[in-house]
Amino acid sequence: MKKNELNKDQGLRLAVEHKTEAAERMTLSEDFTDRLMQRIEQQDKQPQRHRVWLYSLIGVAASIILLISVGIVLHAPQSEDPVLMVRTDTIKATPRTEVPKEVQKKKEQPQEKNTKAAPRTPRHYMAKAEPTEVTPKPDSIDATALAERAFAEERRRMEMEMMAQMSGSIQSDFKALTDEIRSRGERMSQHVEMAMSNEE
Amino acid sequence: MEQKTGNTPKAIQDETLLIRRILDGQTALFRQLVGRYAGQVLRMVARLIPSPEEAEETVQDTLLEAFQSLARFDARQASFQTWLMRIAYHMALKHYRQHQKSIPLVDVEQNRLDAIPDDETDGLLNDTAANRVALMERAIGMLKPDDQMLLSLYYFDNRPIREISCIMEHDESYFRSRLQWIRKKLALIIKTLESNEEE
Repeated sequence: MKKNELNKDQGLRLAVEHKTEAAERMTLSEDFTDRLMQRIEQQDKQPQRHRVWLYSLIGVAASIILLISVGIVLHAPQSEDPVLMVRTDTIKATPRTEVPKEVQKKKEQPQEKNTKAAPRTPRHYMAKAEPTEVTPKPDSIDATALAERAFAEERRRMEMEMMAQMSGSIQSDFKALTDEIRSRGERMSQHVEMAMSNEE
Repeated sequence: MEQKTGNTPKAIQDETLLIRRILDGQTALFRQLVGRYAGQVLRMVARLIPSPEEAEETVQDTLLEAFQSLARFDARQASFQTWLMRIAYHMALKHYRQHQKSIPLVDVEQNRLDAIPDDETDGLLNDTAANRVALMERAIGMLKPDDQMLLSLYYFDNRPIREISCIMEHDESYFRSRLQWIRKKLALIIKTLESNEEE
């Protein structure tokens, strides 16, 4: 609508004025502003309450999730573990000299994963089960190895002690033997000298 | 209770400063804005909500909403008054739709509107005879609430289309064509009402 058209529609303008007359006469109550400011103050406080509720709710939810996850880990089904233990055993308990076998096993695993569409054990089972089930194994292996090493060392030490004890008698026997050899040699040289003198 | 509002650059600057202080935590200063604009908001809202109690409640909701979204007010886009009127308009419309009573709205076919010549429309709406004006009032009551608001903002408040488009959130071109369409529709309703009375 153009500006000069504002002078048009005088009847409509009057009708609109009449329609809005009632609205123009309306006034607000005396305590309107006070009530509004009270509401504003209440609204100002409400977000803080909301925040407290929100934080406590998050805390409760987090603790529930933690408890559930701990429960899952502790009561994880044992049927899933042997496979895991075999895998971890082969990886962890096999001696270093059998590296090719280990490599073979490691290579086989991804093939199994690719071919089998069956549900795999969840990752968190793997991660959590390892320390609970597998860690004792390396400990026991270490203990036996250590014990064996200790036994060997002990045996070696005892042998050394026995050798040390025996070394005194060996020396005396050797002395007697050398004395006998020396006396034999002297005797033989005497026999040779006597035979040479007789020929002369 | 109502204070004078100014549109001078200094008044706008003071108002912007006042809003900044409110946003900085001086909540009590919002009382000044309420004193300036609550009456205008009431008059705007009351055009769609005739009950004084409900209208006052809607004004409360409008000003509370304005306080809560004060940080989103951008003085470069519109004046505070226009921004506040936009909130008031949407609040009033929401309240109107929630408490809608059976109002006889008239749906007319576009071809019937096109059939009315522009001269005839101009003549009907420019007529200030009491019975014609009374018919026009009845016809306005049969329009949709947003069309009624558009008429009051344009013909009563004499607001420019640019400001109306800011309050009612539509393009200026939309409101220009919408006003022409409403005028035609009013003319058609008036003619229908007159023919009914004659019968």
